[in-house]
Amino acid sequence: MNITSQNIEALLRQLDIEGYIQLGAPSDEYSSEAEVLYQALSELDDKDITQDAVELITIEVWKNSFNLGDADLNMRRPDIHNFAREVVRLYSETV
Amino acid sequence: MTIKLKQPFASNGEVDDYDVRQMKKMLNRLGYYTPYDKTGITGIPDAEVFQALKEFQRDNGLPPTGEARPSDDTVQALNDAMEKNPEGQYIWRTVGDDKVRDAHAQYNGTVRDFSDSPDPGEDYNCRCWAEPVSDAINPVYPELILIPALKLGRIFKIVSEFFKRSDKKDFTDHGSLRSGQRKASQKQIQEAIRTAKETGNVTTKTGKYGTPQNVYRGSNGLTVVEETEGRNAGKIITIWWH
Repeated sequence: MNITSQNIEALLRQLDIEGYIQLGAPSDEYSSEAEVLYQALSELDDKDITQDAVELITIEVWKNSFNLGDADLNMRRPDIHNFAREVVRLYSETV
Repeated sequence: MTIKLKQPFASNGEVDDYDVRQMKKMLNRLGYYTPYDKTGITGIPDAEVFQALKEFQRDNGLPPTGEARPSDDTVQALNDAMEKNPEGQYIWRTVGDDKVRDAHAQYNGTVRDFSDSPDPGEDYNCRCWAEPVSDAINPVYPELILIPALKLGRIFKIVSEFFKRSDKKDFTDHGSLRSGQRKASQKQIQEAIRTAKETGNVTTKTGKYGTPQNVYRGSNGLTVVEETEGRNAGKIITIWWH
């Protein structure tokens, strides 16, 4: 996998899914989520890096990190969907 | 799976630990009870299990007392509901610690049929549970078929191990990780909240998804954000030095 945790963190910063950066938090606000997402995605073979797979793993990370229930996750699904799409795009560019 | 109570099951009396486990497993499989994900199914008679029993009784035309007695109508209705073996699927969930059986760790996060064996919680002292596959989340799960269960179990274990590092009750895991990363002690966080209140530097904002948040801008240079409603009410969700 040619994606780095820095790439992932930059995407998370840009999307600011929780809105904390907009609230005033520093730019490394999502560094932990980026780190664990990178570790998790590194387990996948190239062929497994699909939008659905990235979305599924991101949901698991978000659920744990932000203590979210299904209803909370559903509200975030559009942003998570966009994030997954960008990861797959980034991956396809770096392969 | 059938339930056989040893003694009355009620919130205002002493209940048997094994009865509580049985009741939780049964109500979980029937979609009425979801345990706290850091503990899984335990023998602790929490308020949620009695509430779940009430909901089951209400749905099944029984008086919603939240109580049951050995071999009463509620126990019979629970066993009948299980015998019908609800169709559909669930996601196997584990607590994610090192006590989870290896076989169950491999099931973690995988979608299974209700007719599959074993059931989560079926084995002795098993704390695993079934998470309903909700319609809204459903579109993602077909992909699980394409990711081998072993690999997916390993990924979910990485995630749960990562967040196991934080164990502060008054924080979300994100908040706890931020306090560690930004080197803010509990004392400094309390100081920030106290001084913000004293100086009137507390702002109530609405979060991106509509949840109210208190933003404490402390005189010690620390900003603390706390959610005030919902699932994380009273929890610190992030902090930073301003």
